[in-house]
Amino acid sequence: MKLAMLGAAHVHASGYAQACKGLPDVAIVAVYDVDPQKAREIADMCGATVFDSAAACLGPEIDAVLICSENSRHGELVGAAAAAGKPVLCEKPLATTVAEAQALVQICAEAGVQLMTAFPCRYHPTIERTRAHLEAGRLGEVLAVRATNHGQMPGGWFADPVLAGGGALMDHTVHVVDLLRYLLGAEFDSVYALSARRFHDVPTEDSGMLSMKMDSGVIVTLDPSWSRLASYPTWGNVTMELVGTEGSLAVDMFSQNVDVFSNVAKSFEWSAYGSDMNALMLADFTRRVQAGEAVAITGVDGLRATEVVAAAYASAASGGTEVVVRHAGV
Amino acid sequence: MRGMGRRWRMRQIAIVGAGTIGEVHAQSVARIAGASLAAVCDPRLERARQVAAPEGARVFASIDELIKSPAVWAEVDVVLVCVPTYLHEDIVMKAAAGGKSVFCEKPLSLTDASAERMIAACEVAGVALGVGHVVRFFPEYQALLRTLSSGGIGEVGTVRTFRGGSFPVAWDNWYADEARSGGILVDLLIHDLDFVDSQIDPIASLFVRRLEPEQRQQRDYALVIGRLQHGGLLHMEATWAHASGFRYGFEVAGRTGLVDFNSDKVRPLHLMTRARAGGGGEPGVTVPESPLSESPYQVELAAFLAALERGEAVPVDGRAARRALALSLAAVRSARSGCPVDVAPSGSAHAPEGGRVGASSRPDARHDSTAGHGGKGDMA
Repeated sequence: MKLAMLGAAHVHASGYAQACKGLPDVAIVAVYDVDPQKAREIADMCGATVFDSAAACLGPEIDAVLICSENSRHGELVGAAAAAGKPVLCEKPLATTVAEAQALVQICAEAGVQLMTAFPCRYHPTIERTRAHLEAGRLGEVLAVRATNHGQMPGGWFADPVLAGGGALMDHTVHVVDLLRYLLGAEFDSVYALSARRFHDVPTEDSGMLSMKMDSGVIVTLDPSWSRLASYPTWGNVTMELVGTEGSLAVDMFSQNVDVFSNVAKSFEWSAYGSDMNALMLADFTRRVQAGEAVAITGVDGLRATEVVAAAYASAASGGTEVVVRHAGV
Repeated sequence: MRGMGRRWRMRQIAIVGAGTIGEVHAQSVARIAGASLAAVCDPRLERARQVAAPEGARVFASIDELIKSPAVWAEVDVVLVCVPTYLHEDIVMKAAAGGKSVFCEKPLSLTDASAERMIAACEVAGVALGVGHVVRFFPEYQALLRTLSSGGIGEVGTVRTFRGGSFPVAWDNWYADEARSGGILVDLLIHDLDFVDSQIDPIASLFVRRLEPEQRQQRDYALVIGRLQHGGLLHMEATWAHASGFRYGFEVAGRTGLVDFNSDKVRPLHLMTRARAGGGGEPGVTVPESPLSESPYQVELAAFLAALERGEAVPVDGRAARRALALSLAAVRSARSGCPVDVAPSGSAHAPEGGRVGASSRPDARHDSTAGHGGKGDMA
């Protein structure tokens, strides 16, 4: 199976390239980025050819497309893939506005191509076990969730309001939102959000707090702040504690680490040994495309997460108003 | 304790309320040089005797019975108020009227008016009023403050706190009765509200989500976000919804670093025993411990007594406790209304979060225009 990677600016691009190398019968053969240097780095990792446009990448031999560009370029690249009739796996967030996310879903539907939003956390074994605990009723009825998606400030375009569409809220709201939609089978109803710039000299917000309510009544808080500094032993975290009538479950997805104290690096670090969720996601995407099955996480899932982000920004901008999440038609 | 070793005269202590916290304070009194337990009052005389016995203190069914024993009452210097919250005012008033210094458990009371009456009564009587906001005396929280004041993590960006575990088991299940305990926001969250507000940065606004009343059967849970006066963001969790245990902690992230503490991760001692075979054998247990030479409760009480001895202001006075209570009551209002509340201390130069809410007319926005108009009115 031959893949084209359109856009290589995302920090996940090299991880995806690495993961694809580990998949039998899957190869990234074509790469495009507005920055040829970035495209070259990925192409060199997987022996692919660099092309100077998205369209040029999408020859008849290409079976599917991975989009790893800056958030603001998702639209044009998904459009190119749809025009070429290729199934797409697009990096999160699907789009920076609800209207654009809606348009991408529509373009792909009209072109008859599958659109998957890259929410790799769903593939993490801790989430699989969380689903199993929930399905077995071990928590009873879930009443509340306390979540974090902390990170280091990714730098570069991630804090560029044009290319990223926002800062920490844009970057770190959608993973947990998607996980809770997936795990609890409910939609987000309202958001009260605070944002601030406290840690870095960047043009976007670098910290925030979200208090949300799902249509099932579950109350949720999420801290999406880029509050892990350079001295932190890892890039960040995804944690959730689900509190139910019969029990609670604390999830700390990236806590499978060994402690490393190094005189050489003058550091304390965590060396992660958890499962590679990116590889699991790519394996599932490529398998389903090959088998002609529906992808597991759709463009609509990406749209729903973007709706929550939009509500969060509206709430934060309002200076203290809870905002109802508007669910766009598809 | 430093300052307590001079032994001018043993401070005679009366404990009113021999529940869990009353017993903790009795143990502290036993360990504080210069303090002596004179009396324990509780209508459950058996329980009172249990708490009084190690120190050979006298036992009474109530503070009224104690007052009716003039020989004992005359000797008492300090009354420790350890009864359920809704009974605090009555005991504090009687102690103050008797000219006794008062150390009252947190929360000081259930309403601002009641707190004000208690403060006024102690002022009129010329007696000290200390309140048991013991978190300020926990060494892990003091370690946090040392790091903050040394500039180790720079300007504070986010403050996260958590506290709680299973639903508290106590006399007459009084914690479950909001009219008597104030519920989780008044009884439990107040610890972290007081600590953050008084020691890190005053809290400017709060937005509180809590389980609905019908979900709160022997269970309670609240998630709080807010803003601090100097722009930092706040997250707090208070739980009585977990199946077992009790844990607490904090994470403060700043521009140049981060401080993280979780009581669950601290295991200087961890005892595990096998179940004893055979009928009547002891079940196996797993018990973590984190012992200190002086418990935070002992340090707290010793600091209060030392301040009395020196004629200085007590560490956490009635006014500080009233502010903490006002924050809790604001949290209750936010949870009820679903709106953010402005809680900036009066005289704050910073614009209140939510202060612009009333001006909004967004069709997709929910708000209560009574929320967030000026700190003082909101705190009343």
